Amino acid sequence: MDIDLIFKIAAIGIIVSILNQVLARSGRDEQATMTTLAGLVVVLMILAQKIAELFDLVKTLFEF
Amino acid sequence: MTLFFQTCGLVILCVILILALNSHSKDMALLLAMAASCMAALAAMQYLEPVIRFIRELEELGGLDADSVTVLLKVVGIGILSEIAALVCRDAGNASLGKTVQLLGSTVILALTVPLFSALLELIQKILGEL
Repeated sequence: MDIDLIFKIAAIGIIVSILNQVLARSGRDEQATMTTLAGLVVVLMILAQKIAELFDLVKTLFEF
Repeated sequence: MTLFFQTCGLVILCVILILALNSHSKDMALLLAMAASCMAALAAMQYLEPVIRFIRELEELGGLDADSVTVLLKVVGIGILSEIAALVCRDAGNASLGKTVQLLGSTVILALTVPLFSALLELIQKILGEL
């Protein structure tokens, strides 16, 4: 059980939202959008490994 | 049993974090929900392992056909995965995609059970032929 994953994703979410607000306030809207997208991609990369792990476990368990 | 309590704590913590994140970035909150459901499902699968070993033992005791039990297990796996995927889709506010994933799971299950039904049909034909 690695609870670090949840904290990691939540931390990335909070940091990205803060950066988004700061960049949006200083008038750099396109950079704010890019930051949001980058955060989303990073979290998706982390999540894809976990989902692959779940799929592998289901595959071995239910003998696909 | 510690895994169960850990998972309960993790899910509650995740719900609180999602509530905190929801007002700022909805997409990140959804990803967090996906991660939590993935980890809870992983824990559930680990508890399911001895049950499946027991089903295999029962199959050997009863002299059942191994293929039909394998099809049964596959159907359970597909059902669980398609249900989780559909619920995540519904959480994201896209109920139509969730329904479509459920439909996909149902059709795959139907396709998997076709050999069982054809075996049943053959058995019925054999019994009727003997009469």
